[in-house]
Amino acid sequence: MQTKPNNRLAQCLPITFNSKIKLSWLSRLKFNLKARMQENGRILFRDLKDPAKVFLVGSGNRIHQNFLPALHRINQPIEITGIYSRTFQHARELADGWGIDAQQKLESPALENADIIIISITAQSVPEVLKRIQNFTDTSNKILIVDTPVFAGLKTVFSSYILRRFANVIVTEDYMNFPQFKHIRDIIEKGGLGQIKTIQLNHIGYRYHGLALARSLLGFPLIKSVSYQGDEIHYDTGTGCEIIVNEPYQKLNGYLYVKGEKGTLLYCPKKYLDSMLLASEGAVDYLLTEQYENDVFTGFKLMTPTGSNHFSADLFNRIQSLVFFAKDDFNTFKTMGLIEVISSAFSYNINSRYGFVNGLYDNYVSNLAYGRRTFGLPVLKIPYYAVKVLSVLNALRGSGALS
Amino acid sequence: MNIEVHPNSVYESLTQYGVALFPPLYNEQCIQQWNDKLDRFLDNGEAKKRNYVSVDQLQELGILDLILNENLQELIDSLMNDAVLYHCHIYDIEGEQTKPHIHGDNSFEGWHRDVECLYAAEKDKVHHFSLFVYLTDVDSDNGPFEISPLSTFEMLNRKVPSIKIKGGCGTCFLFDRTFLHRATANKSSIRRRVLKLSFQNKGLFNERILLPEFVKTKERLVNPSVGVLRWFGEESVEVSYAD
Repeated sequence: MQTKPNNRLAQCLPITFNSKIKLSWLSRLKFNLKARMQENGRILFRDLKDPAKVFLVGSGNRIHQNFLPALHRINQPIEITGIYSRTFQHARELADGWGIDAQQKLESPALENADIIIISITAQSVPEVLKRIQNFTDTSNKILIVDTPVFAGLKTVFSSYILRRFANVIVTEDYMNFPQFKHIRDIIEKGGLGQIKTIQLNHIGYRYHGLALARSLLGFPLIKSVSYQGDEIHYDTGTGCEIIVNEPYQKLNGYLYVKGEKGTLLYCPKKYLDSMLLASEGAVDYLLTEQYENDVFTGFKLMTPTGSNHFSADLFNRIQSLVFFAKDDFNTFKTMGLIEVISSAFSYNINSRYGFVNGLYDNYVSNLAYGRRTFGLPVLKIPYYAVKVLSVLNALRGSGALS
Repeated sequence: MNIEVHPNSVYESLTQYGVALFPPLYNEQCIQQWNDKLDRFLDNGEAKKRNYVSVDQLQELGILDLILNENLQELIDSLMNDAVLYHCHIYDIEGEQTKPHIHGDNSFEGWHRDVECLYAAEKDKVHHFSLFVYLTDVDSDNGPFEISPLSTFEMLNRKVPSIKIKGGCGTCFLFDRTFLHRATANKSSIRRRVLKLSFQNKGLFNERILLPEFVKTKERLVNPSVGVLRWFGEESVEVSYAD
């Protein structure tokens, strides 16, 4: 019954493009800006029979306490083939402890053969190291993993064009990947709260990390305007949702409150009594709490309108069992978040949509918001189109579109 | 001014221009039989803006086996050796419209790229593509599909060309979902009917393959080939990865 082609690949027909897209220049500009902010990242397509070769640059606490533990506990085939630090002694000490090779020079065969390059150094030093890597080897098939905020200040941010020369760039926005926030995102994505109206970060979520977290719960909308009232910063997404950040930042010693059209959610960390009080008054539909036995974290408890769930602490415990790991709960959550970030080199997850343009964007927007408050500038809603344009121009410059 | 291109293969056409045209996969007699069944099936329901016939309903109607034929398998295998289905349905859209039936209210006259795709992906590779088969005649007033060769790596400027794909019943083509495309308005009084199958690499985010309609259909497939099982997300099927 079906037509049988003789050789389908040879039967491709010519195409005649006989029309043009007739959109106004403003629509085209808007389209291009929007397209650049959409960052569904690339995963590492490869035959997973061979482990991915990972090269580390840096030897600070972040490498020691987060990256190396994460790489040892990630459920992906990887091999750490080298570590380089400006001070060789530091790299060697770290390498000896974790059983990896320290490199005297950055420009080494281990770097040349790496599939993934991880850079965790001061933001000011990033451009120089990136240029050295680019000068030494072809990076078009390498994935770069770099810490937020990626660059420091507007001067170095113009180095963003280098990032476009990598196969993909993953920015380590660990905070939004903390397991508790992942659970919250699941509830929102399944529609448990309906359309989100308010996200309140009370003393949790440092500046751009907090903004990234809030935007991740909403699918990364852009911020239309920002205002402040005392210690509260209000971000308006223009989609009927307001993000409120209460200062000062106290790691996880605060709470996260989400109000949607269909329900409310409270994430209530260990010792935050106000939020416990709020919860005990029955003011929320979903309550996520950390569970402890004898001061040892045992997992999360989620109370929902239909019952309660317990999420185990298996990975948490496996990370804390590492010999060189400082047994700090917040640091363990960071490492769990980092595992999610690195996993996006292998499979699609929330980080696949959060690249360096979004990282820079959250940095600009949050810093400008805090800057206005610090310097007592007028308490007015401030459109941040300029910030968006700046972020996007950097990205375009990086893509070669403006060069 | 018209721009005519002559790609050497379906794959080249898809990666370079975002679209590939080729001779029909299904003959007129076959499609007529499908349409007879679909007319009867849709007759009982009230006419909506869009009517969908899902993959499990296609199976119940005895159409799915004919869709997933060897020609199709040969074609898809030549493009992606770890393909998993993302869409598999037939739908029709109402007529007498003044704007595109999908994304018609966006600021870009319906032009869009499918948001659930992986962007910033490799140039010259395809990760998400759809097969369209027109099940009714489509001319310029019947809502022809329109696509531009604008990939995610390029800027939209005033010189970007496009093609409205017109053709009789049975016309089929592939397009890359990350290229800029749109549905044009179906101005005619006739509903436009299309078979749509979308594929993407295994391992990419795919919430649809776990929908009951796909799970149920997979369980009821009769003597499926390894390739077809893989399209339905069969985990046990070994695949090799492209270079």
